[in-house]
Formats: sequence, structure tokens, C-alpha cells
Amino acid sequence: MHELLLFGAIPPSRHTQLLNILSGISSMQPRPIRSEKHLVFKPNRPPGSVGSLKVGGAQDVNVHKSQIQAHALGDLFYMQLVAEVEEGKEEEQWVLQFRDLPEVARQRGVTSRLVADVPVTSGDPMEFMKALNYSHVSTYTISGHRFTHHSASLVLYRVTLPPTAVRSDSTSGGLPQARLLDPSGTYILQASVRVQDGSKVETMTKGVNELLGLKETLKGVVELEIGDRLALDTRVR
Amino acid sequence: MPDQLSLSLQAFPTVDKDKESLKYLISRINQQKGSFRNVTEQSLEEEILAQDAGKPDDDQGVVETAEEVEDVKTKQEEVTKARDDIIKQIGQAYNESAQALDFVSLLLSKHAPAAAQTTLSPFLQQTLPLGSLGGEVVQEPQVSELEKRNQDMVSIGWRMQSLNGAADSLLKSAARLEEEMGRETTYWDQVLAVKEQGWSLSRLPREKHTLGVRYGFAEAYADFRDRGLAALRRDADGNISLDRGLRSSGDRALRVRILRQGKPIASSTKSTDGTPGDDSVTKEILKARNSIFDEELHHELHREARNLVNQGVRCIGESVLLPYETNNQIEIDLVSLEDEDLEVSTGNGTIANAIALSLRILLSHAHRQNLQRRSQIPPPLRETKTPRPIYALLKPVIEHIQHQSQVASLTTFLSTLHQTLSAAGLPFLFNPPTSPHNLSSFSSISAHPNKSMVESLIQSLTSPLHSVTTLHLPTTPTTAVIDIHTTLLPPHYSTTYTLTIHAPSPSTTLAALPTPTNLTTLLALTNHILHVLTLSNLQHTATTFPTWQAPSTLHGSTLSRTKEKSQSAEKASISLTGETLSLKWWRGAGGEWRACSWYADEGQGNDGGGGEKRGFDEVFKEEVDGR
Repeated sequence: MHELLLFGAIPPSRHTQLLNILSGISSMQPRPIRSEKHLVFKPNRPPGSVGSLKVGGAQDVNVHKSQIQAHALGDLFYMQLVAEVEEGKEEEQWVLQFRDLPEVARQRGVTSRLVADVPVTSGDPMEFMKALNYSHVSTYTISGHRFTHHSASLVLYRVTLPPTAVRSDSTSGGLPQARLLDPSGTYILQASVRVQDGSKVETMTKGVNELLGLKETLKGVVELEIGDRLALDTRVR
Repeated sequence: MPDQLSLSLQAFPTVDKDKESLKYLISRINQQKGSFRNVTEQSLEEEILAQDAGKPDDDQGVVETAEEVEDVKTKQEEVTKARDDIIKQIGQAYNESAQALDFVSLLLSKHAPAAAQTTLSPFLQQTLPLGSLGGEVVQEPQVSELEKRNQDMVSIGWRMQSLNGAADSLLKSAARLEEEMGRETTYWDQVLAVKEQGWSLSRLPREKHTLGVRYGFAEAYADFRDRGLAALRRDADGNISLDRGLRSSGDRALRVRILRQGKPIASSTKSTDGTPGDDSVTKEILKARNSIFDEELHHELHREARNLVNQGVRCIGESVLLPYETNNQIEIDLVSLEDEDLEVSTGNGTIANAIALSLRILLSHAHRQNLQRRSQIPPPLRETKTPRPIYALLKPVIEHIQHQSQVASLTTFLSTLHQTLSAAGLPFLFNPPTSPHNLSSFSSISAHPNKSMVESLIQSLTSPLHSVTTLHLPTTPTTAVIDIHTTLLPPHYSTTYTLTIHAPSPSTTLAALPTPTNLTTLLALTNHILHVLTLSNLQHTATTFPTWQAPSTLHGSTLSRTKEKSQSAEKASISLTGETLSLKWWRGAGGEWRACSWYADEGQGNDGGGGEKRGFDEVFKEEVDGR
């Protein structure tokens, strides 16, 4: 599956206004995303170690070999477990998300990348990740609103980091509080269209056109831009 | 050396013959020294001496000459300027005088061409023919005082007339503007009134300067959604009027009629115009909205009806026909509101109205579901387009009609059976079938925290229907439970019955019947019930009269007895139809078949009818058992 993306930034003072505008464009009420938890996992093995064969040779030759294999076998990627969590709700539907490095944009005008979402239907997802030899590195939470306009999905959100532990030797603060990733409180508007098969030019063009049409509609309201390819890099360094 | 130096600085003197002439020299001397009277030999010598002695203060002399040069220069410039000025003015004067001369010459050329030609400028001679300008002495016309006054009066009159005209047209414009203002006020007041009633107003996409009102449904099929916008135009009096464009085909409404042999016996009533607003525009908007809703409903009904041919639904022309009861039909069509008087609704329209109402509720529900579907995270784009779903509008209606008619038939059958068996004195009771809807549960909304009351109500309308009835068989405490399910979904596409027998002991023949039994037609069910009751009766008789034995197979209906007493009957059979219970017995060899019947309506008959009113057990004891 492919995902086509455009991004925009909105200062908090315009948040309500933008909710109204998007509601009008999509002719639906905003669907709140109360708190969508993202757990980031990193593979435990170093890049390039996949299937590295230790057959004879001196140590330095092996190092050289594994470097070659790192190029040959490709990179390792971070993965995420995502679920909407609510207080008092026991059952959480976790989804294992993989996001590839975005393709080089060229003339397309939108960010496009390969994605895979695998819903976890049963079992303990944490145990599963452990079994995959992935370890948890960080957590963040998304909260905001979601809109649907034809086949495009618009998410207006902010990223919250989990509360830091209260240090016993610090005089400041009592209870730990969640803090925003961006202290200015800026919202991000992410417009995305998913395409089942990225190799089908026709459907890809349709998706791109829909996103660009949305960009045109929102001109002057919020400038939707192509995402920074390297900022969206999910490879393990 | 100094002499040579001074020489070298000066320009080499040119020898001018003129300047050597005496005339020139005299004038020069005059200029330099003044009159000859003042020039003496002595003074000239002094001068030369002074020149020779004056060498040491040569520098001062040079400075002075520089200043003088400066002075001379400015003076020269002034002079040049003045000279230029004079030349210019002279040129101008000459030019003007030449023009005047030209003019006069041309004027004269009419009378004295030869004389004029001498003074005429060559340019004018070339361009204009001679005598083209002439002059004549004329006399000033005599205008009398009276005429003068008249003329003045006329001019004043004209002026006044035009002033009056201007004033009039200004007044007219003012009046017109005032009227216009009144009309605009009325228009905007009415627009505001429409707005205040909650209608959404917007600009028309095609005509940017016209206001439109949106009365269509946002979730309707694109065709009908786009038609739900009409222009609010202003008529001559400033009243607002609704312009629905060319595509509107008048107000139409859905009509549901019940037909018996093609003739209507009942019809749904038209929606009354008892709207809260008396405003005609509001009424018109409401009518337009109702019309477009019914048109969409009709369109969707047709779409669905084509898929329901297996249920006996037919689309004939504009109308959809549903089977109803045994020989009736329900006809759904779209009628124009204009020919309202053509048919007066006859008969009891409750069913027809209920159907019309349900269909409308179901379409609204479909709209709501559309919004919900649209608000979900969209599925990834694919090459194949997902077709527009067909709404379930007729399906719940057909399900209800079918379910109710089946349950009613079953109830009739069971009550006849009850009458028959109670005429025979046999214990048989049944609970009337339960209603498929448990409406009391809606009072407690807390049961469905995630759903609104409306949604739970709608769900009761669309979910499969289920009724239960319990039969208490003569062989107490055996009961038979019938579950009636109606759904148009696969695999049954209709009503199904499940009969479950709860027998106390597993050894009886009843208990040996397969349970539960699934049946798909009412006939099969009634046959099955009769079979179960016959078996139950046999068993009941066998337990009451222990000398008799019930058949061991499931299909027998004959009781038999050992031949202990030859004068008594040896065989007896029970046959049960819905309305009759018959008991036949046979008295051994040489005997004959005798029978006794009980009827649902008349009670009991003996062979040819009549006879004593005895119960089944009594008859069996006295006649058959013969004890």
C-alpha cells in the first residue's frame, strides 16, 4: 500500500477557525482523536547484520563484508505500534505500522511512501515485538481531529510526549505533566490518500490529483507542502 | 628673456590689411586714448617709461588682468544674451507682420489680384488659390424691441421647461428608488425570515449574484443532492419566489395503495400542509424538500425492487408492486401533488400510511448511514470502483408484512385446533405468538450506551424478526416451542419455523421426533403440528387406558389391543385435521368401522353428525374400550 501526503502547520490561535473550515469542506463534524499512542520500536541487531554469514576469513574481512551486506540487504527500519487509548477502556486495537523512506518527489508534488498497517487481532503486541527482536525506544501521543474528504483523510493534530518522571531532588513541580513536543503549540495538518497498489499509475495519479486539488482548495487557509524526505526517514542509523 | 617670454604668451599677430589702414588706426587711437587733443608726445613718453619701470609689479598686473578678463566675459555673455533676445523679438514681430500682410493680401486678392500677388508670400500662393478669401460690408439686421423680448422669453421658457423636466425626472427617480428600496426591504426581510427558520442560504454556483436556498439532503445520491438547491428570486412586488430551474417536475409525493384485484381499497394520505410557517415561500421550500425526498425514495425503491423479484416484487412502469396477504397487492408509486383531487383516499389507510412512513424513515436512516460511512477513514484507492450500495427499504417492510401474515395464519390455525380439541375435551393450550419487537426495552436507553434511541429503534425495524409461541400438548407436561424467524437474507429468503419438543421423559415416541425441526413453509409446519398432536393424543390415550398400546413407529395413528375381550374393539385410529378430530374404531371380526368426530365450530358429531356431547376420553371409554 502507498501513502500520499501533504503537510501544513497551523498556529494554535487559528485552530478553531481551521476546524470550522475543514468541517465545511468535508461536510462532516470533526472526529476527535483523543489520544492515539505511538510506541516506537527499534531492531536490536545492527544494520546489515541480517543473514550475515560468518564463514572463515579474518575479522577485518568480516567487518568489510558486513558493510557490503548492509548495502546489499538494505536498511533496517523503525516500526511503531499504534492504538487509540482511552481511560477506562480495556480493549485496545493495536496496529503495527511500517513506514518506508519517502520516494524522491520529482514532479509529483506530494510525498509518497510505501506503508504497511497490520492490525493486531489477538495476543500481546509487546511480547510479539520482543519475539521479533525489536525493543521499545520511545513513546509519543497524538491528539486532535480527523476529517474525511472523499478519499483523502485530514488529520489536525499535536504530538504530546509522555510525562517525565518527577525528580525527587528537584524543587519544581508536583505532578508529572505531559508536555507538547512543540512548545509553541503549533498544530500539524496532514492530508493523506492511501493507494492500494503503488505500481498502478492511474490510481496513483488519481490520488495525487485529489491531494493537489485539496491543496488548491485550502490555498490561503493553510499552505499544504510536501514533507521533508529526510525528516520522514525511518531507517535505523 | 622676459621680453621673449611675454611675446611667446601672446598669439602671433596676424597681419590684417584693414587694421593697418588709417581709418582703423584712427578709430583705434580714439578708443584707446580718447581725443587726439589729449595725446601729447610727453604723455606718450611717460607712458612708455612707466611701462618699463612697472616691471617689478608685473604680478599685480597679471592678477588685475585676470579679474578684468572675468568681467569682460560676463559682460560678453550678457551682451550675447541681449542680442539673442532682440533677434528673437524681431523675428517674432517680423513673423506676425508677415502673417498680417499675407492675410490682408489674400483678402485683397479677390478685388485686386495683381496688386495682391506682389505682397502675397510664395507659400500662400502655392497652397491657396487667389481670391479664396473675400470681404463684404454688411448691415446689422434690425431687431425690434418686441422681438428681442420675445426671444428672451422663449429662451427663458425653454430653460424653465428643461429645468422642470430635470426636476421631474429626478423626482421620478427618487420615487422609483424609494419603491425599489421598499421591494428590496421586503425581499431581504423574507430572505431573513427563511434564514431564521434554519434553511441554509448560499450563493448559486452558476449565478454569483443570486441567493439560493439549500433544501436537498446532503447525503442523498449526487443527482438528487445537486438538485436540492433553488434560487430565491425577487418578483415585481419584491416578494421572494423559489426558482427550482428547469429540472424540477412539479411537486410529487410517494403514494402507497393497497389493491385488491387491481382496484385500490386503501391509500396512504398525502402529507398535510399543516406546516408551522404561514409564509408561502417557506411552505414552498418545504414542499420542494418533501418532493425531492420522495423522488429519491422512489428512485431507490425501484433500484431495490429489481433485486427483490424473488419475493414477488414487480416493477411495472412507474410503480412498484409488492405481494400482500393472499390476493392483495401493495402498489407504491409517485404521484403529482397537482392531481390531488383525482382520487380521494378510501378505506382504512393505516397499513398504507405505516408503510409510507416506514419507507421514509428507512431512507433517512440510509442517509445517516451514508454520513457515517463517509466519515470513516477512507479505504485505500483501488482500480475497481465500489458500487453504490442498495438501500434496504423494501426489505424490512416485506419482512414485516410476511412475518405478520405468517404469524396471523399460524395463530388462526392454532386457535381452530384449540377449539377442535377442547370440543373433544382434550387439554391443549398455546401462548399467542410474541411480538417481534420488545418495545419496552427502549424506555431504558442506558442498555445501549453507544447508540442513540433512534438508532436502536431503527435497528428493531431492520433486524431479522423473531416470534415465539409455546404449545402445551395433551400429554402434559410436554411442550412444543415454535420459533418463527423472518429474514430476506440468504439462505432462506423467507420465514422459517423451528419446532422444539420438550418432553419430560426420553422414552416416549414424541421425544423420538427429531428436535429441533426446521421448516420453511407454513403448510409443513401445520402438518408437523398435526402429526405431533396425533402422536401426543395416542400417547395420552394409551396412558389413560393402559390396555391399549400406542404404535411404536412415528407414523402410525392406530391404537391396538390384545384380543382378550372379543366383543370389544380391537383397533382404534385417531385422525386430526385442523378443524376435525375423528376417532374410528373397529370391533373385531365381523364388526364394522365406527367413527366419532369433533368439529371446531359445531362440537361433536357421531357418524353422520348429531349425538351426545361427550368428550374424547368419555367416548373412548364407553364406546371403544367397552368397559
